[in-house]
Amino acid sequence: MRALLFLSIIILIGACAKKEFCITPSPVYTTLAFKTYNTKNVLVDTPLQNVDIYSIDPEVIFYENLESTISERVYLKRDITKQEFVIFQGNRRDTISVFYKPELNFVSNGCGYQTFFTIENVTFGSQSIDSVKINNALVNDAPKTYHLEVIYK
Amino acid sequence: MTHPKHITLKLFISSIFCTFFFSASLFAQSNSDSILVRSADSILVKNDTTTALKIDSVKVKEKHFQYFRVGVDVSKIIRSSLTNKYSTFEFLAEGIWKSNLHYVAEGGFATANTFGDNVSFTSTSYFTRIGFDKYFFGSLYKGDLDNAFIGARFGWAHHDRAEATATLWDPFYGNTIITMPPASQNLYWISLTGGFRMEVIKNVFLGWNIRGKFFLNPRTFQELTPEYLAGYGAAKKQPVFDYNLYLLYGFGKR
Repeated sequence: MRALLFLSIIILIGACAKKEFCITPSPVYTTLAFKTYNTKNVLVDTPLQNVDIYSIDPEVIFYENLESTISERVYLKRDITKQEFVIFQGNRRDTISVFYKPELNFVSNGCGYQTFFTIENVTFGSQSIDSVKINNALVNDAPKTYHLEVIYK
Repeated sequence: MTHPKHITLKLFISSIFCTFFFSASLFAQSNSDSILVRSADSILVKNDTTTALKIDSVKVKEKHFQYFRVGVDVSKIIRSSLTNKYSTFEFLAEGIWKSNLHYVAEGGFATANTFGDNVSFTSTSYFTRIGFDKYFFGSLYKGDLDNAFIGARFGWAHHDRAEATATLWDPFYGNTIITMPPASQNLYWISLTGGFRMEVIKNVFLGWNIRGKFFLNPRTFQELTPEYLAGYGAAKKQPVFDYNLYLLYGFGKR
C-alpha cells in the first residue's frame, strides 16, 4: 500500500507543470541628453530652462513642459520608422528627426514580446543645436543609457 | 525464476532508493572484484582475488542480440491523463549485446498546449533516443535479468509549433496582440540515465529510469518554448530531470 502511494506521488509530481507568471518588463524609451561645450572645449550637461518638448507626428501624442532639465525620455512608436520632436525654448524652436528600425524582442512565455529599436539616423534643425550624436543606437530596456546627445551651440 | 508476487512491488520501489545511494560504489565493485561470477557451465563460484580458482574452460564466444525487450512508459500515459498541458507517449526497444551491455532505442511523440495570459500556441513533437545501458551485476542464475544500470543517450526531436498569439508589451502606446507564424525546429540533447529492471513474471519486466538531459543546441528554443517537448520534457529547463516507469516484454533466447 505504501509502495503504491509512493509511486502515485512520483507520478503526480511528474505531471505538475508550473504556470508562467509575468514580471512586468522594463519600459523601453529613448533618452536625449542636452549638452554643450564649455570654455575648455569639454562636453558638459546644459540644463534647458522653461522648455517645451513635443512630437509633431499626428499619430504620437507627446508633450512635456519642464522648468529645467538636462535630459528627456521620449517613446518611439513601433509601427512607424521616423519620429519628429520639437524642442521649444525661449523663442527658439528646434526639430529633431529620429529614423529608426523597430525589432521584436521576446521577453518570456509569461509576458510575450516588447519592441526594441535601432536608431539609424538623426537630423535636426540648426537654430540653436550644434549637432546631435548617436551615443547608443540600440534602444532597449537597459536603464540609465543616453541614446542621443543633443549638443547646443 | 521470478520473485514472489507479494514482494515484487516492494523490491521494485526499494530498487529506486538503493540504486541512488549505492550505484557508484557497486559499479566500481562490479568492474574489479565481484563476489559472484558465472562460470562456463553457469555454476556459481566464489571469486577470491587472492586465491583465484583456476577454471579450465574453453572460452565460449558470446552471442549477441539473442534476447530483446520492448516496452512502454506507463508513467507518461498516466501523467498525460492528469494534465491538459501535454499528452505524450514513449516506448522502448533494447537488445542485449553482452550480459552487461544493452543497446537501447527509444521513441515517442507529444502534443503540448501553451495557454498563458500573454502567449498561446499548440505544438507537436516526436523524438528518437539511442544509446546503451551498462549493467552493474553478474547474473545470479542462468537467464537472470534483474539488474541495475547506468547509461547514456543521444536524443533528437523534431518540433512543430502552430501559429502563436502573443501580447506585444507597450506601456506608452498600449499593448496589442500579435500573431507569430508557425515554426519548426530540430533539437538535440544528451541524457545520462540510471535505473533498474526486474522480471515480475516470465518475460514480463517492470523498470524505472531517471534521466538528466541537457540540450546541445539550446539557443534554438529561446522564443516561444513549448510546455513539453517529446523525449526531453519541460523544454524551458536546461538541464532537466525526468523519470520513466516501464512495463516491458522480453523475447528471444537467454
